[in-house]
This record gives sequence, structure tokens and C-alpha cells, in this order.
Amino acid sequence: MNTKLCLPASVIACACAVFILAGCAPQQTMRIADVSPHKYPLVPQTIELDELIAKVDAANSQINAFKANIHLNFTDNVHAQGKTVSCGGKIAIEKPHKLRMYCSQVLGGKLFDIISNGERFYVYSPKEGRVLTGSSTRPFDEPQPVVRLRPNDVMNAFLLFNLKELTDTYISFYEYDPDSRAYIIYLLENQDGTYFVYKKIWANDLTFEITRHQTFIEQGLVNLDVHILDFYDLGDKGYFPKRIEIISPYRQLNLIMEFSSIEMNPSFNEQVFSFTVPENVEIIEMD
Amino acid sequence: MFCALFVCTFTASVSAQLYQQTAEPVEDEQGINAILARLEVKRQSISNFEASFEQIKVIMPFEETELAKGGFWFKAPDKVLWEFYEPEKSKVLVKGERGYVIMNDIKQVQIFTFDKHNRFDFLLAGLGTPLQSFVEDFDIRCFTDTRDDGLALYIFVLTPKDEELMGIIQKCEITIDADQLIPLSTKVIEMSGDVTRLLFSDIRINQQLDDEKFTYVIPVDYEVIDYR
Repeated sequence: MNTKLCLPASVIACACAVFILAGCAPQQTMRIADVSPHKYPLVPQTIELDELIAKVDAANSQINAFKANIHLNFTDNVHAQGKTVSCGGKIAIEKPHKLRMYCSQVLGGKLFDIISNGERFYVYSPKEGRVLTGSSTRPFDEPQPVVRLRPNDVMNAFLLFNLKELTDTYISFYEYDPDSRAYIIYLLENQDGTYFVYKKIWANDLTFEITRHQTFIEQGLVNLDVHILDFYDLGDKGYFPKRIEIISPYRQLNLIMEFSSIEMNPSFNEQVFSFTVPENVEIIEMD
Repeated sequence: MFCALFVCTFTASVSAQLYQQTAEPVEDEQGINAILARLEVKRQSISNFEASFEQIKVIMPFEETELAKGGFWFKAPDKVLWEFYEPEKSKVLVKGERGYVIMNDIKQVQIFTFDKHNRFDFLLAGLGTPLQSFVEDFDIRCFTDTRDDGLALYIFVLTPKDEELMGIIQKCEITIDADQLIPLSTKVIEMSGDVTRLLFSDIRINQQLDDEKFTYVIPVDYEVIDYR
């Protein structure tokens, strides 16, 4: 059976034009894009910033408080010559600034206990007989020789921020990165007429999970680079980080946190976020 | 809910079983030294020690109790294996001064030095470590008591006098079967208030125990953290 090919005149005209133009230019090989056939759309939909922000906030768990078991690997490249310390413990967080996180080693007892009651934080190291204390909300402004991690650093890693609130405060825009298949949302702050990037947030172009976020210090250096390596899918409650890597190039430290037995929005007694400085310890004021 | 109830009930029953508030202090030094000498003779006769264990940990700020269960093996003079079956599968293996924490769930092995500076060597008190060896760093008090089932007990309470230890540990209690002269439990109260209690049961002494039990090869795909 013969098959008759019928094409509209306009298509034939276009094809001819393409052939003619191609004949004028050097020959090129067109490569078919190497993409997953199932998981992602080939081209992301055009999206308004407000809509993107709403989708990202909806996808990522908007929790006020949580409690979880934690396993932690901590590498300090300055003070511990890149050696890693591993420990396990528990973490409790209540927005906006309350934190309790302790970590113990097998046969080694408690390694540290971090408390932020919303006004002050305490980092207690029993083995060093030392308590570091300072303002819970004061931003990190200078490297301290004795502490490489402030409680706010930990708080900021858990996606407890509401993107809509941030974009109301900071100048924001986004771009699409086809390599990471993510929308990158930029938050800028104006300092005396000069704009600095305060935060960059990567959101998956299909699920809108936040997969990475960076915060910067005034000099434009990356303060924290947080990678969310795996997620818990909480259904209606969105996604929650399962494994997080926090890199601080500025402070040359690396922290990997893995969570299990997560309890969302528990009610905490006040004791969880309170701390009494033990006797016979050195107290170091950080502010 | 059931688990929480079980843990509370279990903790309460264990506490009641071990401590009747009837402990009598052994006041005279000669008496304590005589008990320590008997314990040392017994300790030196133990070549192998196997038991099941239950570890109850009370974490103060969260007012939570964690229960873990496992098996314990000791082979004189210096091989020890704690194997946790639940809630997470992990092992602590000690061979001489070298220790391994093996965490299969996250494919990680930690290598550490197990010596006096480890500060938790009293977990082996009466087995690999003589009780007398703690005299230098701890004030030691001894009590006699009787369990509900009539078993006579020695309870040694160790309070640190070493400055470094004082920042870590409030006290440690080691309970010994006064008849068999073998350890039954250890309770550690840290300065933070956390309490860890380790209780032995199904104790078997000087039965066949192959060295193979203490052999371990780190899998190639495991992360190794070396604290030595």
C-alpha cells in the first residue's frame, strides 16, 4: 500500500528556509537532550515569583517545633586538623529561637549540650569543663577560637524559615538552573545603597523541595552552605529533612546531621530549653 | 503509649529489685579491703563471662527513658564485646587498648583507645578492671544490701576526686552479687544528670568462648572515624 505524505504549504516553506539557511552555515550536529523520560518535564513552566514562593512554602514542612533523634558527624578543619567526631543524641527545636541539642559518644559520655532559651544560648562541654554563652539572636560576626558553631547556625539549617516572610523583607528574584533542575531564589539586602546577597535557596523544579540553601556574610563570603541530602515525605505536612550537610567555608567546618524518630509539634516542658550552669566550670562570654 | 508504660514499669521494678533503701554502709576500712581482696581473687578466676544485658538511660532535659537490650561477652584478660540488639543494632568491641564502635545502621566504625583516660572503664569493674584500681581517682564507699529475692549484694559507690572526672561524673554505683562475687549492674550518674544503668542477666561464667567472637574486619564500604 502506498502512503501519501501531505504537508501544509507553510510547513514546507519553513523547512525549505531551514535547509537554505543551514546550507549557508557550517554543518552542526544537534544533540538530543539527555533527560529522564519520566521524572521531570523537559522545560519548566514559567512561573511568577509569588507563585513559586507559595509552592515552595507549601511543599516544605512548616513546623513550629519538632523533636528527633540525631546522629552527627562533625569535622573541624582548623582546630582538629580535619578529624571527624561522631556522636548521637537528641534535638528539640521550637520557633523562633529555642533549641536543645545534646550529643553523647558510646562509652564516652556527653560530648556537648547546646541550649538556646530564646534570649541566651549555652554550649556546655562537660569534658572541657566549659560553658560558652551569648545572645541567642546575635549574628555570627567574628571567628572565635573556642566555638565553631552557634545555635542559630543549627536553627537556620532546618528550613524553619517561611519564604514568604523573607521575601517580604528582602528584595528577591529567581532564576532557573537547568543543570541542577532547580529554581534558585535570591534574597538581597540593601546596605547603604549597595545590594548584597543574603540568601540563595534551591528548590526542586518538580516537587519544590528545598534541596540547598546558602547564607552569606557581609563580605560576600558563604557563611553556611546547607545541602538537604534526603527527605521524609510527611504527606499533607510536606517534606522534612532526613539528612543535612552543613558546610561553613568561612569557619572551615563540616557538619552532617541525620534525623530519625521525628515528632512534629510536640509540647515541651520548660526544662527542655532551660539550663543551669554546673559548678566548677569555666564560663566564657561570647558577645 | 504501651512502650512508655512498659519502660516506666520496667524501670520501677528494676529499681525496686535492686535498691530497697536498706543498704548498710561498711564503715571500717579493713572490712572494705577484705571485700575488695575477695573480689580480686574471684576476678582473677574468671576467664570468660557471658550475659544478656539491659541498658536503661534516663535523659534529664527530656525526661525520657531509653531502653536497650543486648549481649555481653568478656574474655580475660582484655577482650570485651557489647552487642546491642535493640533499638539499634550496634556493637562495641574492645581488644586490649583498642576499641571499636560498630554502627551497622549507618555503616560507620569508630576506633578509639580504651584506657584509663576513657573514663568509662568502670563498666568493666570486677571483670577486666580490679575495683582497687579506682581508689586513685575515686572515693569508694561500700554498702551491703539484700535484694527482694533474698540475694545478698555489695554496692560500691564511686565518687570522683579527680578534678577532670568531677566535671563529667557525679557518681557511679557497681552492684556485686555478694555470694558469687560477680558484677550484676552498673549505674553511672553524669554531671548533666543523665543516668545510665546496665543490668546483667543470664550470667554464664567460664564456659567455652572462642576468640572468633572478638574478631572483626571492617567492611570496605564503612566510614571509619579514628579517634586514636
